[in-house]
Amino acid sequence: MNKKMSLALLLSLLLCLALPLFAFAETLTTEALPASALVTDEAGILSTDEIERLERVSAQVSEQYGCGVYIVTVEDYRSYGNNVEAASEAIYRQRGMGYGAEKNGILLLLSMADRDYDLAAHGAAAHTAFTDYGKGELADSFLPYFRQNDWAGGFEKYVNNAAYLLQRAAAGDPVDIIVYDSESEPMGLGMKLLLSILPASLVSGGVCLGMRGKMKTAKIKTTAEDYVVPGSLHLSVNTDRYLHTTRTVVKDPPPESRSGGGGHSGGTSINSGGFSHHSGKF
Amino acid sequence: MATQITNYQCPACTGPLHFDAQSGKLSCDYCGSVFEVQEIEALYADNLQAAEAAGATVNEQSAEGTWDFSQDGGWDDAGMKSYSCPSCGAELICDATTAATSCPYCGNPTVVPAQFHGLLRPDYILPFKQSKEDAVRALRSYYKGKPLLPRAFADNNHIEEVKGVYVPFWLFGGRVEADMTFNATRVHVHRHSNETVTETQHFQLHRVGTVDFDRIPADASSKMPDALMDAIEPFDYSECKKFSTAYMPGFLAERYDMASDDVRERADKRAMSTASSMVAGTAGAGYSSCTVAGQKLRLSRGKVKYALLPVWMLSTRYAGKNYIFAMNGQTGKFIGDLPISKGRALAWFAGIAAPVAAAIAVALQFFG
Repeated sequence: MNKKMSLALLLSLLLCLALPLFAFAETLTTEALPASALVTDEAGILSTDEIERLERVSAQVSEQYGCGVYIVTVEDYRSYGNNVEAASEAIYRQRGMGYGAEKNGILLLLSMADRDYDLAAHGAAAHTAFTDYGKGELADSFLPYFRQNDWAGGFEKYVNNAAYLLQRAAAGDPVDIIVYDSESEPMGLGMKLLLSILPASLVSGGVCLGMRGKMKTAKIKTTAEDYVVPGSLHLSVNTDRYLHTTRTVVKDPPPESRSGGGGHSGGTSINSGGFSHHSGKF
Repeated sequence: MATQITNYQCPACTGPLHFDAQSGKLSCDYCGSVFEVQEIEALYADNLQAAEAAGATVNEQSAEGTWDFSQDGGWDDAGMKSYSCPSCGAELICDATTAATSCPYCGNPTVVPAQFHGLLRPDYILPFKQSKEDAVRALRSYYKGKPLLPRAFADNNHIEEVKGVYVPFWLFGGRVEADMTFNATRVHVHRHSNETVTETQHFQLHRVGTVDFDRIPADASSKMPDALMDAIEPFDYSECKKFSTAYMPGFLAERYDMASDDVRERADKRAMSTASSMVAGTAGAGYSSCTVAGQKLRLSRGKVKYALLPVWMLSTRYAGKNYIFAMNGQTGKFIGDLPISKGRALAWFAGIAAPVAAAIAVALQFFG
């Protein structure tokens, strides 16, 4: 089982456990929310019911953790910026998104023209919860839905899993690559045995073969270095002829995201504007 | 028949002489007198000529097939020869190729000069420098550091036989011309913008070279295992002496029973393989890769010499099987296959594998 599948299962399980909490939270007031809407569907891909439902759940999560969880869809990000990241930063600032003095929040921007998306986080609390690795995992959870044009399903995954990442951060245990490796997928006993016995057998076999080699020393000789007349090697022809040159150009593989999510080396990469991103195509 | 074999006897007491590997001289077993090889050669020159002549007559007539071997008693049907010991008169029965032996009755070292008459006469002899005691010590030492050797083999091992043998070898000289072509490349990798550019320059290399070889040995006795004889090489030919039977008393010796044409292919292959490697070694420097595209090897055979080289042969028996070892009688290089204890092999395997596996398991437990 790969890491992403494991995390997706874990997120789903925790979501089930957290659902009653969310249901209870639905009764809370959303008066404390900032002026900006949590869900803005400029591209018109969501129904009114879907927007309302997403607004409700996003508001609950945002209120609970003090970190806005935003959704914006646009026809083309170029109306807001030169690239999808600049566009999401512009939208985030222009619409006054974010909670508290640090404007903590995370925005999922979908640009429908070229099927671009960007996850932009802002503020210390958001950067703690949405590490580069966490944002990558978050994206992996909703991208399969968007690729099937299941917009509402993808956004629900986004909100729910964002809630999980915020919960982990609130508990002082943000989802990052190291934590994930050690706790989410412990190595099984069978694998440990295999990894122990196989190399040990190879090492031991190599040593024993070396010992065996010492027992068999009578061998037919196939060379005659000992009988070469010293200095007798004479070259009458010694030419090196250039034939041709071949040139191979390999382009660098496209990064998984233009910033933030490629390294998965732990932590969060924050740009000079105070944002961290994870972007790509859906 | 009696004139065909010679017992080197001490000029002082007539006791039997034997060649002493340590001193390189002939010494008397009885009075302890020591003689230079040249002294004894001069003393026995007339006898040896007579013995060789007698052998030549026998050989010549037997070649014509006119002898009645059944009446003569000197030959039998199995390629054996019989001689009378000049010391005690006992009849010695030897292989047809035996050139030096000892009388089983009186123990006197005996040489059959007729085996080295004419074309059968070796060009060189390389005297023994390692003694019988050296060979036995070398065998004991050979057992050390062999963890897979059955304990019973080393502890209860009784050497059944230790023989110093002058083994006949053909020594082949020649020149190999190697005409070789190679495909070579030089690879340059550099980064350009967001691309990795690999430029590979292709070259064709041509080398024609000659390599001379001198005295590549190939044993000329069908009784000697080729692998053992090859493995005890090399011999230092600078210590070779002009052939004389005076170096033989106390050792066994055989004349060749395999003609040079029968074994020259082994030497040819060795020479061509080495020449190919040496010429190939002149190509490839400064290239990222270099592979042989084609080669033509031409061998010009040179002089063939016939030599007797010193080898200690030791044999022992274990679990119903014979184990033969050979030691270079000049350099002391010791070779031979040993039995392997399956139990010890398993124990070593488990003994190494278990702690390694445990260490890895502990590491996985803490860091996995």
